[in-house]
Amino acid sequence: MQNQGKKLLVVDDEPDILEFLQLILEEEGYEVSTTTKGQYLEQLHNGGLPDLILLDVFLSGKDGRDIVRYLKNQQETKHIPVIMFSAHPSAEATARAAGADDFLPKPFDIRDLLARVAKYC
Amino acid sequence: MSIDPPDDQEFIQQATDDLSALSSSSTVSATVGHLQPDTQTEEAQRLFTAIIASSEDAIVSKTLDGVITSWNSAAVKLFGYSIQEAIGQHITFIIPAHLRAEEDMIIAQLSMDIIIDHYETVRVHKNGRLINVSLSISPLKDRQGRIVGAVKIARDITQQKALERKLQEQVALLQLALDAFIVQDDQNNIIFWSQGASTLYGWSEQEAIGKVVPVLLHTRFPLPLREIYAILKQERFWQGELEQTTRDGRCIVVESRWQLVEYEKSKQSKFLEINRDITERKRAEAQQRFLAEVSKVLSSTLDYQETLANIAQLVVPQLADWFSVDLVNADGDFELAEIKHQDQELVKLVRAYREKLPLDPTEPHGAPYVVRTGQSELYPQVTDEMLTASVKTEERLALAQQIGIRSVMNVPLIARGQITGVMTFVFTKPNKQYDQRDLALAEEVGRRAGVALDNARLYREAQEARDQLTIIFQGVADGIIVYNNSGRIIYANEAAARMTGLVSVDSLLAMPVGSALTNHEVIDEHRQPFPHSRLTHQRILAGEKEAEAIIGYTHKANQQHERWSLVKSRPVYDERGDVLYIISILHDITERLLAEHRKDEFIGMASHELKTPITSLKGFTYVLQRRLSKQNDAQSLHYLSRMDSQLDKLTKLVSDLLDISRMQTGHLGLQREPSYLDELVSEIVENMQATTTTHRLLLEGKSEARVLGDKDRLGQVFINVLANAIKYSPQADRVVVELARDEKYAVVRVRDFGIGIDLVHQHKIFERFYQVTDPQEKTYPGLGIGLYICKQIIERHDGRIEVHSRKGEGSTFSITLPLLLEDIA
Repeated sequence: MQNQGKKLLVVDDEPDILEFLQLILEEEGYEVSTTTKGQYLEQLHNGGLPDLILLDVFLSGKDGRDIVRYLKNQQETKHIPVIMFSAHPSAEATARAAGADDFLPKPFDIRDLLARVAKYC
Repeated sequence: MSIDPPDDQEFIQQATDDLSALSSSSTVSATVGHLQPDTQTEEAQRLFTAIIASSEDAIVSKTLDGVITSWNSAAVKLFGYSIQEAIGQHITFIIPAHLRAEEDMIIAQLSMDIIIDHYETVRVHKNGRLINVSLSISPLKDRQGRIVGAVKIARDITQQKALERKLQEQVALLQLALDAFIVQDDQNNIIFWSQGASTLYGWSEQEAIGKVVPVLLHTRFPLPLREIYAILKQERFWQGELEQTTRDGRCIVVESRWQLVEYEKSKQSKFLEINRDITERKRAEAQQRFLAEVSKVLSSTLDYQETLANIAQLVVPQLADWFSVDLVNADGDFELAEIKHQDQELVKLVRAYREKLPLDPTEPHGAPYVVRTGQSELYPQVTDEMLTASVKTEERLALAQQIGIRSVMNVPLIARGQITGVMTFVFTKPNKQYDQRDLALAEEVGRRAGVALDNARLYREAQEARDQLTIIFQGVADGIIVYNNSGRIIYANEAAARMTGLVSVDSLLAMPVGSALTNHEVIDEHRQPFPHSRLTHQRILAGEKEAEAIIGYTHKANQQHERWSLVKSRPVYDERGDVLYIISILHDITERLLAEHRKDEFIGMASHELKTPITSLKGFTYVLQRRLSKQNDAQSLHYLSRMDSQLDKLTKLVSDLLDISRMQTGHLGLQREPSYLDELVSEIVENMQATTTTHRLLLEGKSEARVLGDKDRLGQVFINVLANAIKYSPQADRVVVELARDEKYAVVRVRDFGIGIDLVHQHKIFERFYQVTDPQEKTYPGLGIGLYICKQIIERHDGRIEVHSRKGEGSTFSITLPLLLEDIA
């Protein structure tokens, strides 16, 4: 498959969402790792950098927008595309302002989600 | 009058006297006249001859028969005949024919040894001219004492006569003058008193002559008399204003000019005095001065009591000894507003009396009469009889007598044609009386004071009204700011100052024109700086009839003190229709906005919380769909797609509820960008067609228009309208979507062929939660929010949404949007 070997990192504090996204995206051939801990992203190092990050805006105890701001400020991670998503109606503008490359409102239209992921990989 | 003529006169007088003395000496006459010097010494004769020769008077001797025996050189000069021609002639040759008889009378008198002294008559010159002469004639006696002849001394008095005539003319002229001409001798006794003096002072010449001027006229000098005399001694002239009393007791003011005349020879002196009556002029001046002072004090204050006191202060003692002001109130009652008199105890008594017994408005005289008729009253002389007759109560009579009323004026206070009160002027001193001119002055004071008091009253009322309004406005919870037509704040209440973040009204009033009126940052709802020109009062200045805006005043350092106001501005027009004032009402919506913000956050969180499980449901549905399609389980796939579409509906409901909430608080964000309307509509139509099997969606026409809008939101509108068209036309098989444009607008029309909408519902379907309920129709379920959301979105795009429908004949929804501004031109 064309997506073979592309590494996706999905961050959401809802395990159900992580689970179905992993199912769907792996079926599309992506190499998917998931985490509910936003802090994990701040410990990324050269060896394990993903090709794309899917990041929820409101994480438990952590604001996704702070994470994307951090990532986009780091030399090693600034090139990694970040797609943010949220069920919160007014999150899009702030997410984009924080540095997100794209935004998807929840609930996802799965086809739309897959198209966006494909676009950035 | 010149100083010289009296001197001349004096000289002539003296000279005549000398000659007279000489000629009246009989010894000398006899010796001189009798040319027989046998008993005289030679020397004496030479002396007399020399005297006679050098005399300036003509000396002629004659016999009793009238034959001339001697003729000196002065006689030659006077009559024109030489000595030779004269000696031996009869004396009558120099007497005019009509006076010949005179000579007989002279001879007769001489015979009786009578000396004729200074007899003025006329003689004839050799050339026939008549000469005025003064004759002194002495008898000439021989040694036995018999009269043998006469010596005549003649003096030419032609010039003296002319001088006398001139003097007479001048005196006549003086008598014609209205000014008083007075001559006093050095004892200050009057020696001349002109007719003008008689007229002015009332004393006749006979009465005045011999009197002393300052005593007769009770003269009051501006400086001590001895100082005036000192000036006269030095300067010979003095002038000044004197107060004098006439015979009938009137006080007059004269402008007096004094001349000191001193006769060196006689060591005598005289005072010439000319007095001109300037009483009227002085009075007119004094009245003008008084009125000027009145105007000055009246314009000095707008305080009612102060105005009254100021007037009283001026009037007493200049124009009255007692002064009072009675004001008439709205009910026609009198109120004693002011009394001025030196005796405070008496003032208290009168006040107490008036407290007890106010003026009766029906009284025939006094203040009530003046108020009733508008006529002033003048009583030049008030007698006890008059008081007794006019005053009703014993107590009042006693008070009037205690005041000592001698002369009274009552004049109205007039303002704007209304009589607002009466001023009473009273003289209590016997020598002062009011006359018509005083009355005219008092009336003028009444007019001026009336206006001033009226102004003071209006000012006080305005002040009170203003104070009341201020109290009301300060008590109002809303902020009130009044601007003038140049944008300057002329009024603001405390609430306004608080809302704009200022400490006080004063600091708000001190804000320069054109500033944002606060030292805080002025922001709009989106926390952007509020453009100055869009401030509501500026919009009114720019011509709008009403302007409204939500304005935030935020402190740069401390957002805790942020205040939000709903500001409404309206103009106040003058009679020409120009903006005079702008009134802005600031309604504090800080709390409301905070509550809305909390609500917004809650709705946002609720939406988030609701959508998160839907997200999982959708996700697992997708996973299941993938599995089932691999297993070719068509039945399960069908159920699953039903579940999925229900999940979509649930999502839409959640979104709609969120939108409603945000529209209510005005927080529906729009991402505006230029978009091609045709593309947008055809994409929606395509997508809708993909999920619609019952209807064909027909796209007709083209707008080829660009609009500035939020694609998602506009799409939401078209989806809503199309979904409705399908939903409410269950019997039809098509929906027509038509695109069109004109010069300024693009329009999208969605026409269905369904059940239509009754006219009564047509306006209401765009209202929130409005549901068409028709008992005869089958019910169409829903929340009644779809068209409300559409209307809100379209209106936020400056467009409009309308419906044309008839029941049973389908509906047409027209959505009109303005063209992109740059495409219009």
